[in-house]
Amino acid sequence: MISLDNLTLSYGELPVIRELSLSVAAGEKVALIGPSGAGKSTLLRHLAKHFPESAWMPQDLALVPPLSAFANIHAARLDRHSLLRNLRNLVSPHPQDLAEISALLSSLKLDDKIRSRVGELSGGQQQRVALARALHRESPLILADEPVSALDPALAELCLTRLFAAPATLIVSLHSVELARRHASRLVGLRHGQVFFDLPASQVDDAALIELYRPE
Amino acid sequence: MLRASLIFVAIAIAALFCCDLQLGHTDPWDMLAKVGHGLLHPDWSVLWHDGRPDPAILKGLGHTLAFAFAATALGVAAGLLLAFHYQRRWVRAPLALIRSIHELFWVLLLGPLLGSTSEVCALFAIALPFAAIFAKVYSEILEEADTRPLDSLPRRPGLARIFYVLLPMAWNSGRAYTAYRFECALRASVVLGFVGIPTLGYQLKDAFGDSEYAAAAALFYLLLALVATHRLWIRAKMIPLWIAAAFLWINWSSPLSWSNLKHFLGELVPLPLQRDDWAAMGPWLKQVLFAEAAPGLANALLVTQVSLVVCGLLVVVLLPLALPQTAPRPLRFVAKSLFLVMRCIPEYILAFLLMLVLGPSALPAILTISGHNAGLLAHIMANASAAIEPRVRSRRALDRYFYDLLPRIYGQILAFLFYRWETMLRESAILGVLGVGTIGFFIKQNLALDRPDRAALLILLAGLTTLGIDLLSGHLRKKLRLSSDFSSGRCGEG
Repeated sequence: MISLDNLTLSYGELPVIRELSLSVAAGEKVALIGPSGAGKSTLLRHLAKHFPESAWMPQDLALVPPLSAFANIHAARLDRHSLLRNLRNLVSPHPQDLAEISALLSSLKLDDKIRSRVGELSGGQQQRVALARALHRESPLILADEPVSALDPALAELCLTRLFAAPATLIVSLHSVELARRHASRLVGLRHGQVFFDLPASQVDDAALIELYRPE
Repeated sequence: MLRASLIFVAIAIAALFCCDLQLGHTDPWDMLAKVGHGLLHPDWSVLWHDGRPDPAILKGLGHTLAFAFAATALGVAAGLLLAFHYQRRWVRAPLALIRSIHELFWVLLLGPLLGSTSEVCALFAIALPFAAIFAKVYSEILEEADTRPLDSLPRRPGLARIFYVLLPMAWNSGRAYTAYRFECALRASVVLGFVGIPTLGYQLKDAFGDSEYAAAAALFYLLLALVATHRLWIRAKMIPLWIAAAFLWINWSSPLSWSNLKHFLGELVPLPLQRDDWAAMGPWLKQVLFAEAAPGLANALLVTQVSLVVCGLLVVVLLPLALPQTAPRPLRFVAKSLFLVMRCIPEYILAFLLMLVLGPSALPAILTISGHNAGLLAHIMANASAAIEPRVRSRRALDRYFYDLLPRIYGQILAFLFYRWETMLRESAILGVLGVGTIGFFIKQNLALDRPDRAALLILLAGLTTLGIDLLSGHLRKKLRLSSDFSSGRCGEG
């Protein structure tokens, strides 16, 4: 589904991703881990740009604060509805769309905020709205950058379970190695913009992780 | 930034020597006493008739509001549509010209076509330049809007993306700017009364013309209150009602017809060309360009350069009186009230008043333009700077102001002044209608003598000069790296 061959990406002069090769088959659930600055976000942004039909959840969420949670999530499916229905949904949500999004939000424990303006929600609530928007897209490829960084452990667990249950190919960057091991089927460790290891989750041992996160 | 400021100060001092600053009256104090007495003893009875509000005043009030609401509504609708195509040169260039022509000139220009005192004429005189200004500012706001959410959305359909991302993200800036523009429309609507449109300005001008200063003062305070309190009586939910009422109120009859339009456009062609007399074209051009346009534009530019610098100085001097970091609460209240009055009085009416006292010279024009803009800018800066954390500790307030606050906000002040530069030129051109020797004087004279061809060329030249200043200002802002993303400064636009 995805295959990168010798990819190099730079910020100005500084290379962030260096000669990276990676291929991901359809349906794989990949977690990207590695120290800060390893290039996880850069790689995800690159993939999001090259797969515009993917569901993309960036680290800064990129929500529309003046609109309700419902409208933000519905926006993921603008292409599936008529303009009239889309405009109507801004004013008074269609019952069918409302029910669907309400169910989705309730699986993320946020259904009580469906009509709240996103700008008035807390950081953790906004993160779940962005996650819901990515899930609602129902794209065969979901790309998410730190999707649960603002959530408490219990909510993070719940939301990742929901995310990894999606019938799609997943590439998700995560800070927590524990969460990555538990939810993903394959772990890609990035260090200095290169693949440091690429293993099934069950085969990642502590020694490899200590090496991956070893300070300079 | 300091060097640029000093260059502008030097230009202003040189301009001051070239300006006609003479007092027109032999005894301005006598006139001041009369006007001042009127202002201190307003004759409220003029607003009443048999114990009820005077019907003529009510009608004037209705017209003032109707033109402001209807023109703003039309301007917003047209401006929003045009904003999405503003990048195209063939959209941008004509709009730049349209917005560089002042509402008063539009009335004078459209008068022969739509009826010089017709309500349609008044409506379009405001709506046309407003649409052009809205198009420019809305396109800037849309450009600055945070569009990152688009990357997480389906690429199509484009129109839905506009409603789900672009418009919501631009909403706050757009609403603030539109509200400010409505205030401008209210002022413009009053001012149109001075050229015969039946708004409150008409009655005001009459009262002044009859030397009834006490009655004029009452009307003056009424319109001041109208502008100053408009945020209280316009409720967001009521706006559609206000607009509908405005469209119903306006009398849409006008002498506009196909043959009238042809005749109107024909009259704008230089007279020698209308008569196929090519030999007369040389003298015609010589007269218009050298005897009218050149001195008119030169005077307008002189007034503008002086006003720009005086305005900056006024702001720098007045601002510490309104900042919580440097002034006690009662003083702040007085200063802020002063700013409010300064910005609420329509420039044209302030100039009219000052000219009664001082006579028609550059002096009242400079005082008006610098005063009005200083009120506007000081008000904006006082609000924008109230939350700045002081970094310099000194017991003297002025030490803190000049060593800490002012250096930190000076760039914003400069950006705003550059933003207002073209507006000041537009204003100084229009004040010629009142008798100052700027280009507006020659335009009015030509129209009075039934020479629309000459007036049209002069209006065009005034517009092009304004456009030139606009380009120069943009260039300087970029060169001095003054932020273009200065949303409050935009409220000074136009």
